[in-house]
Amino acid sequence: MNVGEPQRVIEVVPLHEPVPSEPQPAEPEKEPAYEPEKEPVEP
Amino acid sequence: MMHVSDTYILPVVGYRVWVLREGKVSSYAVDNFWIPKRANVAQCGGYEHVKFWGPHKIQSGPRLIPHANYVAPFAECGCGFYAFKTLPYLMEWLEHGEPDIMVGEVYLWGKIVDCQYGYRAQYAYPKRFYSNSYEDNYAYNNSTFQVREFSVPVEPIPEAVTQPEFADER
Repeated sequence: MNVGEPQRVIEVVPLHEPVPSEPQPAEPEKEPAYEPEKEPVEP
Repeated sequence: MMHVSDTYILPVVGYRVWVLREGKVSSYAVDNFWIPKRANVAQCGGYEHVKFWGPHKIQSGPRLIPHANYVAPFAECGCGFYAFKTLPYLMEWLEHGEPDIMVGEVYLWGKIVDCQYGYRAQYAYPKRFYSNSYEDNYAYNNSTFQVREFSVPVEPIPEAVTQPEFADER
């Protein structure tokens, strides 16, 4: 490709690289924390 | 030797071609296979390591001079990822296109040599592949697995492609 003569040199430091990331595996659903059944409170 | 004059935070977008070679997406003029989902890094090993492809405009290849890889692209050399600044510049250059060419847009970043009609860059990744041909002789293959692996859009080429301003100057 003939892009012509160099004019200047620049530096590009992107905040995020423009490269698609690999799809992240879905997090497994968390099981609800075990809670012991509460004893009914006597009135 | 040219030194860095300005720093930017947004990637530069250019226009270039790729070709399917050995079943992989490759640079057009040289055997440099592009890697999906990774920043592609320019390297330079001088003429003895480069095989140039293509029609008369690139048979002789750019001028390459020995230097360390880490400085690629070197302004005084001809190395780096190439791209034109505008789509008309690219289409004018492609007047003798080949059957398996893929046209598209490319992100460029890192050290970039800003030239008259285009860029030579340290890092590159496809931004968009164009799914249709500009003319019939620019046959286009837009359904390959290799292209889809890059996870970038595959869209029709913009219709309004005018002649570049410098077309009559050369």
